[in-house]
Amino acid sequence: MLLKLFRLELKKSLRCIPVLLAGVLLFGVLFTLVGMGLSSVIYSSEAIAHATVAVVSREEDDRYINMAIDYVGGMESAALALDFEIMEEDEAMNALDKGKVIAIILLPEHVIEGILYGENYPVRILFSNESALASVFLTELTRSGMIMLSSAQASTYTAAELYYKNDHVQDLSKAYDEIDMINFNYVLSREKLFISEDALPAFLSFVATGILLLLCFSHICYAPALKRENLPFYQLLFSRQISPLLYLAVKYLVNSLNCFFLLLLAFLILSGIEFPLDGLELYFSGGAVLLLALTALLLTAFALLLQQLFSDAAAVMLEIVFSIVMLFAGGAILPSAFLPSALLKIGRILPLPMLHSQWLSLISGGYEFSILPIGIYCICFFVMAYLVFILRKEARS
Amino acid sequence: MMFFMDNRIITNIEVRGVDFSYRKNHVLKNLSFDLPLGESIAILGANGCGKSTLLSILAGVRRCSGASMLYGGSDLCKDKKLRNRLIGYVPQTDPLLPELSVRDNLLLWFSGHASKLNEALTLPSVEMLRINDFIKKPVRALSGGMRKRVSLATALINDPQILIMDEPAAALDLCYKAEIREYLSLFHQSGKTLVLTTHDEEDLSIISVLYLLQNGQIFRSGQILRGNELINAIRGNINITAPSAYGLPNAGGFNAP
Repeated sequence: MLLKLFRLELKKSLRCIPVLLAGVLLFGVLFTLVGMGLSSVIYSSEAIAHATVAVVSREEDDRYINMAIDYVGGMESAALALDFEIMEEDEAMNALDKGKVIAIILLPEHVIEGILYGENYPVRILFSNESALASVFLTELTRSGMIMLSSAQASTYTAAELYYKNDHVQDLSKAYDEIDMINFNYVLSREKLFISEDALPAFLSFVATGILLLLCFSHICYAPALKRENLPFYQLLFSRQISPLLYLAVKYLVNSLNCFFLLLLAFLILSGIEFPLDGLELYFSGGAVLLLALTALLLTAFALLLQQLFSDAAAVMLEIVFSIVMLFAGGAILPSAFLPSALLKIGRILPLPMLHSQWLSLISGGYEFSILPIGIYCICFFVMAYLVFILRKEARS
Repeated sequence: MMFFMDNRIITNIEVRGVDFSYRKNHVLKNLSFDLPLGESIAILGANGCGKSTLLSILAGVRRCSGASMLYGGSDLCKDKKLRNRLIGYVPQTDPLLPELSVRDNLLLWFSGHASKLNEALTLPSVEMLRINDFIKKPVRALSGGMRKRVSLATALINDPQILIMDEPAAALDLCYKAEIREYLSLFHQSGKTLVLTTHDEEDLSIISVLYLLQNGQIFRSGQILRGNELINAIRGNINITAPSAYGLPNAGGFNAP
């Protein structure tokens, strides 16, 4: 009886494959189009929307200010969303009130001097309440600016120290301007380096997110094989030496195996392809097989639990919703800088973000084994599915 | 038809001590009665009186601690293998896997090896259901009547001597009802035992013994009641005649009011 049950559950599971392949194709095309669309928006040379930031300077010598604004305004990320415009204070305040600018950067007198001599004359930034997203960009930008200025300042002091040590103090005041100009020039020439170092993991992270979303979305095609049967069927089955635990374990195992072998097949095919994307590497290894098995076990356990808790259609819908929510909370959809830290803390202990980080490490060429947390989630989901199954059966009986 | 076990003739199954409560509702109150073998038996009663519960206990799909079903020297409540060989059960809702074919569904409940299934399909009780016409079709593509025939076939595929069926005509149109009734009649005529519950008076045409379930107690009627007489009996408004008066075998253990 057990072998027959295994065989029939396998048959049910295998019958899901044509729909599954169609699903993978459909969602694959959809995700690729969305990915390409987003990529062209993010890396396009044309800005998608501009907000203006007013810069009010009380500094007499505007050379450095102009240079800094030119530098920041020339950055790809800043140019995407922000325009910097030097204004008089009254004009800027008026523009902020009317919503023409999203923020005002108030540079105090002697700000450059202060930076050079290590004194802090705080720069005030006034935000408009209506431009939350652009404000986030600006906040991130000022944070980066602070770090950049700290490094520039350190190099200025280093140069000054060298003048002192070599008894050239008398030349120092003349040399300051030159040192600062050299500093800025070197900072500017490092722009490319920052972009290339940053872009790689961010891009791969989105690839990993895309893979996981594709897997989660396609996994809904297993719903007919995982759904609940009617009570008389269960009553008859359990009167024939098949326990509920055994039945559910067979269902779980069969569908996980099916999912795993399909993933393995897809991985074997994809690992033979050379991707035209820098940094994306798929190597067949023991670690890769383990990750594929964990992915299959986790997705099936989660779907099995949802099928026990909800009706067929609701379970399918929730499988999609929960996978998006989990990946979002784990910072896999939007960069973590945009998410509240409390949400990120919760997100990082959720199963899909854990799986995401493992997929990310796999596709970037180095996979480290980490079975335990996801394994525990698989067991928990299965045990919960079993308990719900028993409670539901008892209640319906 | 004679039923034998260890060279002894067995005429009935002695059902004893069936007591069942659902939450605070005492549905079956320590029932004891005999099921005469070779008869076609109907268990009647008002909605919610526990007919389906009683059938599921007799079929062994619902546990009932303290109950016994003595068949010869064996207790069918304990000897599951014997019970599964002896009894086929068709619940009110078809216990089928809709994604799978008729053949796969039969295979699940067939106790023999898969290669012997074709042989089992030639059993008279299964063959008369004419499921070979659509055996490769998925169950979800079948009509209600066809599904009921497949449900019957899953219960009969191991050639049981007793068929227990809950509401054979439920949710079927008139044409299918008549069809199913015909199968059941043929099954009984082959000398086997039929136990069913029904709300359809037409089904009583194939019944030889009637049990009435009232207030958790079972009463056996010696005659097949019709029309208002039947309605009144189900409502508990009339006394039921003891079976011995009508020449039916007195199986013993029943309560006559």
